[in-house]
Amino acid sequence: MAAEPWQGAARTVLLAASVAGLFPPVAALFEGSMRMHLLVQMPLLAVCGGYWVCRSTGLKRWLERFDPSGYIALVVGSGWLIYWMLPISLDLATFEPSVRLLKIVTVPVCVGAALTWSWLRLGPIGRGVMLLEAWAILGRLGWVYLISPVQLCSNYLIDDQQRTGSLLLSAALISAVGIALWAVFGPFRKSHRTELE
Amino acid sequence: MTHWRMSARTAIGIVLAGGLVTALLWQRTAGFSAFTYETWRRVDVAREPAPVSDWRLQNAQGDLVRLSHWNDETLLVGFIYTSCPSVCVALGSRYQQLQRTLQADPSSDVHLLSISIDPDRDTPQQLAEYRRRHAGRQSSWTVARPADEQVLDDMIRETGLRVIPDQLGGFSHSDSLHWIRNGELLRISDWRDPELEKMITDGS
Repeated sequence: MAAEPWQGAARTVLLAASVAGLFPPVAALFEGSMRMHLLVQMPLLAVCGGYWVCRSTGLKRWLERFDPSGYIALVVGSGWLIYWMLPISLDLATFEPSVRLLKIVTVPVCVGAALTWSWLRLGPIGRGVMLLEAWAILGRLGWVYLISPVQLCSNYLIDDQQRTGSLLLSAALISAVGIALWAVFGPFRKSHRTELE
Repeated sequence: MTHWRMSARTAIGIVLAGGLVTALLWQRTAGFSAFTYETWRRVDVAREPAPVSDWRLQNAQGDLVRLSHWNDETLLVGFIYTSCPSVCVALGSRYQQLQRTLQADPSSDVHLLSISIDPDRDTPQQLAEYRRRHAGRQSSWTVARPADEQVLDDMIRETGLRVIPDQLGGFSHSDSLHWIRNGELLRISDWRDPELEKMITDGS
């Protein structure tokens, strides 16, 4: 399969941005604020893994063999997502090099790739559950960060934490409205109106 | 009748994956008890006391003292900086209360120690002023700053303290209290803990 040049470029950029997170100046940029860490770097790493699953036939063949249903990937992906939402993991990743390495290596594979694979394998109901759970996570986490009177991460100030919380809630709201619009006006509409009996 | 089938291999895979992720979560949160770094420090020290080196400090009188000066006494160490508008004021009031408890119980071998994390600005005069502001007495409450940058780095590394600059030219820092005896960090407590008085009089 001949990849188009832009795909190669996109892959290179994604991979470079993810690996660069290991080097102190880039790490300082990504981890300097909670917003960048949680809302830019983490999604970037996850997208990197998701992109890999979508593009690699070899990986798909391997997953097809070991996890045809996508359930194992779902368990790994959601469990590992919870792991990286804990304030302690976020904190340790900013000053423990081993935890930072763990983040850079495992978030693309065990969150991004795993959740993408299970999404590809699940039917409409499974996907609906995944979407609902994603909103619930964004909402819960955003709410906790917004209203918590204590600083939850030792490395991030409380105003950064609150701003992260409101951004998470905004992300939940915007994606919920977007997907609701898509579900109502999108391809699920009946193409022919049936007459009332 | 159900159409839902799952191969035995998938079921085993789910159980193994779930078990592995749960084990990793268990390990990171010290058995689902610590979800923030600050609580994790407390659990970690409670499990295994951490050695601390013999910090060189300068007290509010300008004298150099080492941690070993208080050998065979239990130190209750809090980290502060005197220009801090929020938590260090609360810590000062708490120490004032604790000092009252100590005065009421002369048999206690606990000594209060506030150490500045801002040694550049906190001169001995500033430190003395901080204690005076909280009506503290020199007898059982020492306010000091690390003698040099190296000592500050050692303190932060050995206790796992987190100190980050805030936007107001100060610091955001861990406000826990550290129980140190004979060069060992034995326990980390919340300064709000109502049990502190009891721990002081019981000789912790």
